[in-house]
Amino acid sequence: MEGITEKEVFFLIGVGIFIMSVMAMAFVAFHSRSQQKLLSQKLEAQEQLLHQTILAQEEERSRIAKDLHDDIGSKLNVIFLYVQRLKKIATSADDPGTAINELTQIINTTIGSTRRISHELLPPTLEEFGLAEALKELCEGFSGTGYLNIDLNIPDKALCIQDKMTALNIFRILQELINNAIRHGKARNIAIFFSDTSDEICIRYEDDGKGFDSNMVMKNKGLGMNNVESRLKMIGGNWTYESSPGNGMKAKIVLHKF
Amino acid sequence: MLQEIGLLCRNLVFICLFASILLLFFNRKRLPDTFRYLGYYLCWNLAIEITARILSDYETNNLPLLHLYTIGEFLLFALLYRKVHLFKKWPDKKFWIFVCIVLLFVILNSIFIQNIYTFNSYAKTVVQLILMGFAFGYFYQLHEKEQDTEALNWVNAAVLIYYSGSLFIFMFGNYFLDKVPETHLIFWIINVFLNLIFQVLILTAIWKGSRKRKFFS
Repeated sequence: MEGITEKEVFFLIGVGIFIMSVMAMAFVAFHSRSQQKLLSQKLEAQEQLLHQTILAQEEERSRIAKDLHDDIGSKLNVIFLYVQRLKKIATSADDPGTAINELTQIINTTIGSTRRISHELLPPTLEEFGLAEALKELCEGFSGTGYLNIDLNIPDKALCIQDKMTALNIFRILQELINNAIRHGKARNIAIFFSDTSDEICIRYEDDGKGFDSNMVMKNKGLGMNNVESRLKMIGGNWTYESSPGNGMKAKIVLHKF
Repeated sequence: MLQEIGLLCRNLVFICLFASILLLFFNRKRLPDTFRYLGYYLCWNLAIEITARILSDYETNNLPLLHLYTIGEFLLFALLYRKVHLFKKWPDKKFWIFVCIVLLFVILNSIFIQNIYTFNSYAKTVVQLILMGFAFGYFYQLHEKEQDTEALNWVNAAVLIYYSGSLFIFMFGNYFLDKVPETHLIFWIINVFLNLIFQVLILTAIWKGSRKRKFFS
């Protein structure tokens, strides 16, 4: 250290100590601030998710209430009127045959409606025969309308989803995607491919609907997208999707087995 | 005057260290398991501090203690950071090889390179840089994966601030002793002051940790 006095060395080391201390303190302060920011962002996202979940629940409840009121309720009212009519017939000499036939028909349609509502709430095929059969039934139901063509491809290996909650959530996610494609995208063709490796199950979804600006949707997700995300979170899966106006939608859902 | 400030800070360090050990001992069941290694480190620190004071009172060179202290300091902090999964990508064998290499260097440095009656500046600098690396690694890990580690963040902040600030003090310790002994006092005071910050942050960490666990229990 020739040319530098001891005083200067002393000063330089002092400055070095000061700079190192200040830098360490600044780093700690910066890190602590960014952690707090991250935490508040996470809390905000959780709050939003909770809000959307409650909204989705309420929407589902109002749909069930509407179905019960408009469908089952009105049919029970008609049944009640027929019973009143039968009472009157019983005290008179009129033939009850026509009234009984009409009553039987209404009771049958009420049973049908009850079955439809309960099937929508929890598909029995899913419970009894598993995800693959339930999805086939769902797709056949949509394809049967003649409006939509769904190409469902499930290899035998991918049928090994044993957990009922996982199977139900996958079913609901695909149901949501198909409903969105019909309602918002006006899609005519949908393709769903399952693939199964030792580590993960991958589901690829494609439709030829109107598409949307995925960047916009990413910032401001609707109820359906939030529903898909919260269901995926519940079963430990993740997804990526891409879409642009006029080009339909492509999504990839990955479920890790371990 | 300067010496009095230094002695006051040193006494405060001693009080904080003692308080931390007591607080940790009485809250040992409520604190996370990671704090066990912090407890061992604080006990090691206290034992060295007491011995250094006794030797200092008898006007005996207490620098050999620094050589000894460096070994425990590195080993216990390495175990602490291992406990917070800093080395999760390293298999056990790799971790222990790394620890053994560093400890071997510290020991060989004290035996063959730097006299035990001088600062072990080479070994101490290497250990301090490694501990700073651990602290940065821990902060980086927090960004990657969120954890509930408020109390450990205080420990990490203490490690980063103390070891960054005192890096040059130990690096040039022998230079101060040989060339400019009169400046040694000033740097000793700066080190004691940084050590006081370190101990206050550690005490805060233990206090925060024990309070949080009470809330959940």
